[in-house]
Amino acid sequence: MRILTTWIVSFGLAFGSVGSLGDVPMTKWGKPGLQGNWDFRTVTPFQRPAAFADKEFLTSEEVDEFEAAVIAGREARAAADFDGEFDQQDLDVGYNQFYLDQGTRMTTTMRTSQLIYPENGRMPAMTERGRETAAYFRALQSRSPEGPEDRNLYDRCIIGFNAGPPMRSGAYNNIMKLVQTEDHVAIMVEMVNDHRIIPTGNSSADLPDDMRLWKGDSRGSWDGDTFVVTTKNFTHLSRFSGTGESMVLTEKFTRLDDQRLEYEWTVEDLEMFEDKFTAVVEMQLTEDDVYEYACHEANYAMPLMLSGARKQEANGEQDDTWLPSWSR
Amino acid sequence: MKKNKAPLFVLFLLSLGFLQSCTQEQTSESIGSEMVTSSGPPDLSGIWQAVNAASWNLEGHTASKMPVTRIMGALGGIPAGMSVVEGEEIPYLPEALARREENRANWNNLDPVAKCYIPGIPRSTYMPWPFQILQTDTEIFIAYEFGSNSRTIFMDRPGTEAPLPSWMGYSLGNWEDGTLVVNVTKQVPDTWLDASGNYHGPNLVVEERYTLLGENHIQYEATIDDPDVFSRPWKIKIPLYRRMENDARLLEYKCVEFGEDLLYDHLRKGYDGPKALDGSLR
Amino acid sequence: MRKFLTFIALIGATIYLQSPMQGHHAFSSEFDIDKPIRLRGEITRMEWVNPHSWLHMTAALDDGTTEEWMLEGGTPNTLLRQGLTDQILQIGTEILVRGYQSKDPDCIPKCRGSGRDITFPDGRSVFMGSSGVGAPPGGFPEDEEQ
Repeated sequence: MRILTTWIVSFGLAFGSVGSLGDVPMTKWGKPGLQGNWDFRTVTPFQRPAAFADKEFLTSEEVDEFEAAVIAGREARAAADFDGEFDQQDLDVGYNQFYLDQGTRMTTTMRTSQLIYPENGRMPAMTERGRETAAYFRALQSRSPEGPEDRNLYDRCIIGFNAGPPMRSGAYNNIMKLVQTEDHVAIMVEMVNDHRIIPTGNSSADLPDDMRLWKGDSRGSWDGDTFVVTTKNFTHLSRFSGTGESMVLTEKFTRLDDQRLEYEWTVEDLEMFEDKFTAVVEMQLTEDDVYEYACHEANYAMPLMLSGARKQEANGEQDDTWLPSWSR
Repeated sequence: MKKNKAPLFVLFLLSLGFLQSCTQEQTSESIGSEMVTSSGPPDLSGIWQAVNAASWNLEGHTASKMPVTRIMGALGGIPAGMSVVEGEEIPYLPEALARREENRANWNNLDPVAKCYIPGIPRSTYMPWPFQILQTDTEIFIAYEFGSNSRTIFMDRPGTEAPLPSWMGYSLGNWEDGTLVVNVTKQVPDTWLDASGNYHGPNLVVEERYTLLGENHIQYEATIDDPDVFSRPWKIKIPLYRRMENDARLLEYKCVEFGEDLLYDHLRKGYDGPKALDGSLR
Repeated sequence: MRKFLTFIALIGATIYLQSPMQGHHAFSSEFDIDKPIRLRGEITRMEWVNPHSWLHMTAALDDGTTEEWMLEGGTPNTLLRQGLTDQILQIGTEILVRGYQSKDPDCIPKCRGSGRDITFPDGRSVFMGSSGVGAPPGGFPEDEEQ
């Protein structure tokens, strides 16, 4: 019996010293592996639709039905004949649907929304300051641009509209790369070719209040098997969903298994919103590459917008189509 | 007397296990960087920076004025530098040299980096901003403070190609006796090698070599090979210095808002000055 | 069936609520609804660039002359990931483009427009994706009336 035990122990030591604990790949320094290219496309609605009311989770049959309905909706829109109306809505569609990449699956949480707090799955109300600030930027971007600063950060190729942080599934480029060493985690989001380097030790002093970064300043630390990242010192222009420079973002990355990375994030900005809000999705490991998204380099749209504005001025023309039809 | 051979056998198995874990650390499945060991490559992770005037002009040059000197005085001059080119001069083909001179005559309007375009390789390495290397077995990620640009050096897919050209190109790496060798192809022809008009064409191939010299220095070499522009491949050699401060980190230099002034000033409402550029976008 | 239709209706509402899609670049700020365009011609160049690809074409005008256009599309990265940039929208391909001209009417260096809808002249879609997306069949509705 002792000999058998010795054999078993020996084999265990020989083959168990590297490899995974369960399904989660581990790094050599004993932390869950987070490295990989992660696909964060999802058709799970960001906010819970009214029809789902208090229903937090779907059954797998309901998930299948929802996904099928999304695809059917897209096909219907793509196959619809042009109604002959040359209007803002038609123009704002932009281009053929094959350029879009919004995903075809709900996130594997099987939730009815990405938002899990507030508990009704809907965004909290804005404060008066939040509404005023949002109105200010709306007004700025709905008038003829006097210069590039009048346009939003996406038009200027400074920040991507799905990149945050936090990252959130949007129209396309819903993919990111995470590179992990013992001391740092780098997150590089395809749109717009930007990265954050997050120290894992969380030991250095906070940046002073007057140092503000477009992506904020991120610090990370491990809480058991979850990598927790706190980000603050955003600029007042970074404005994730209407937040301001008081925004504090807390992200939690948990490797669930070989294929999935749970990504939960909480935004707290009590200057602009009455309450914090939290969302959770499960990103999928992908073999796809993250491609360079050199945005500013071929941003022909910016000079085109500005020269259009100048020509209108020269002709004494007025135009109220500087905001897209969906934000009217 | 029958000796119990089990303990010896156990020892044998344990040594197998040790050998296996050593081997596994070298395969592409493992994650994370290797510290300096006798069995693994050196760890280049950290924050590094070139300290010279190569980003202004790779060849030897003395200090000179530039357009902004008028506004900033002594803070706005181009510093002097020795050539970082092996052989002192870049070996242009005769007709290609003429184009370099044209670039040089109008450099501040034509230099893509002045517009905050991605500098490409090797110029990103010697821009006067720090960059950070994150080294893992399957890929080496380099993040550059200038423009918040980055690139991935793939360590596990030799012989592959990029589907389209890009500003940073496509980087494949491997280790040669402790030196990281990187082959960079498919860069767009729109980047310059420095601010003085040195340029390349669409068929540029760059081979970089990163060799750790002690703890805090990397010897960086890059061979530039473009038969459409140069009469032979040529090499630059630049030491890289580790940023040693305890709080060393990359901050942001997202220069789009600076490039916007150069690119779009003439399209601002009420602008009544000279046109900054020749009208071309790149 | 009713449940399915309920879901369809739901999707309509849902897509509207999915705010990240609203970040999609505002074409209305570049192009003019009062200047719809219908072009037929050959592709001369594909700029597979971000944030938007640009399709260059020589458009055949009714009076027999030609005009150089560039039309704005979407990010190429989606198509790159599917390995399609080698196949679709090749140089020399004849296409129909429905779109809108830029607010800036000058054709320097080329006329600019949105590539709202790109099809083959016989009405076939340029690409049918896995979720069945493509362009409308039958070319332009106006063609059928002639």
